[in-house]
Amino acid sequence: MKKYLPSIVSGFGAGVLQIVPILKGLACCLIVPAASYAAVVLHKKSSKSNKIDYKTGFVIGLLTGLFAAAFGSFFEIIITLITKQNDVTGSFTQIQQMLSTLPITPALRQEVLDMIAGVNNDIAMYGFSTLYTISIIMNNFIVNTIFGMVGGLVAVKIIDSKEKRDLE
Amino acid sequence: MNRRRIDWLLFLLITIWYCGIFFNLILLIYPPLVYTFPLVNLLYSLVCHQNPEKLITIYSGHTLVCARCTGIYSGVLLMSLISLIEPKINIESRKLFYISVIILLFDVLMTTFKIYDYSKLVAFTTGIFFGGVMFLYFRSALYKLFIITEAH
Repeated sequence: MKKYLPSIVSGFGAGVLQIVPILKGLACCLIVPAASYAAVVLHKKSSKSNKIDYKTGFVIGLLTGLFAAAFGSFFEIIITLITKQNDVTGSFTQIQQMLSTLPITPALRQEVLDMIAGVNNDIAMYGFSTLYTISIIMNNFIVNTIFGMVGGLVAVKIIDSKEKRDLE
Repeated sequence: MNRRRIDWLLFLLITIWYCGIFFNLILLIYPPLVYTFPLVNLLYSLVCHQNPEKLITIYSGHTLVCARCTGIYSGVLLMSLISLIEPKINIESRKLFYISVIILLFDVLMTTFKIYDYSKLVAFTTGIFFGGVMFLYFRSALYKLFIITEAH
């Protein structure tokens, strides 16, 4: 359990930060890689060995991404359930505007708008939409695991460069 | 897996991700893909705030991520293409990484606190620099990961 703790802590942090609108706007795609970096540093400090290899960094990054996706999805779904609003309902007008600029036929545009409006209505009425829930879980797991792995590997690379310089 | 294959695989995956940013242009080729628009838009919303004022306008539509994120992914794609042409390209020093992060954060903070106005061009340029450097670090780490894995 102890070896998973850095990933759980950092993943939890990333999951929370992902749903805070202002921080999300500031950090964009850097939240999960930064969490992986933090997890690698925490792992290095908690383990007795001074050296951290790329495989460990990769696994820690992957786990951090998975935990960030799990916590992020959970918080997102719970907050949507309580507040009955989220990014989709908040940006419905923006999505409408974006769709109006897309090079598609009006009939096709209307079908897609109806689909999004259906999701919107479900969220506004029940605070839950199956389609939205599946989408957010799937997307979170794809994006966060990839960005987590990248962050984990880059973290080891940076720590490795620092150690090499210190040795010199 | 040899280095050349890693480079090609990275280039392919990055190209797919990069193409998604220009979803409105893809729809010109195959309009029925619009049914996936809510899902694709949600996917990119996880990695970018998608502030309408910061999106890049292309062919009457917009990119799915802001100018800075488009810059980051452009830098990643550009560097992955360069590393296909020149495989020996590599960085070991951490200086470039810190410089790219400082420049990027400086611009983010200055525009957030309205010290100077947000410029898509500046955001895009800082993003390209950061993306390129990050890619080289990631590629180098990935090489070492495969060497370790294959050795075992």
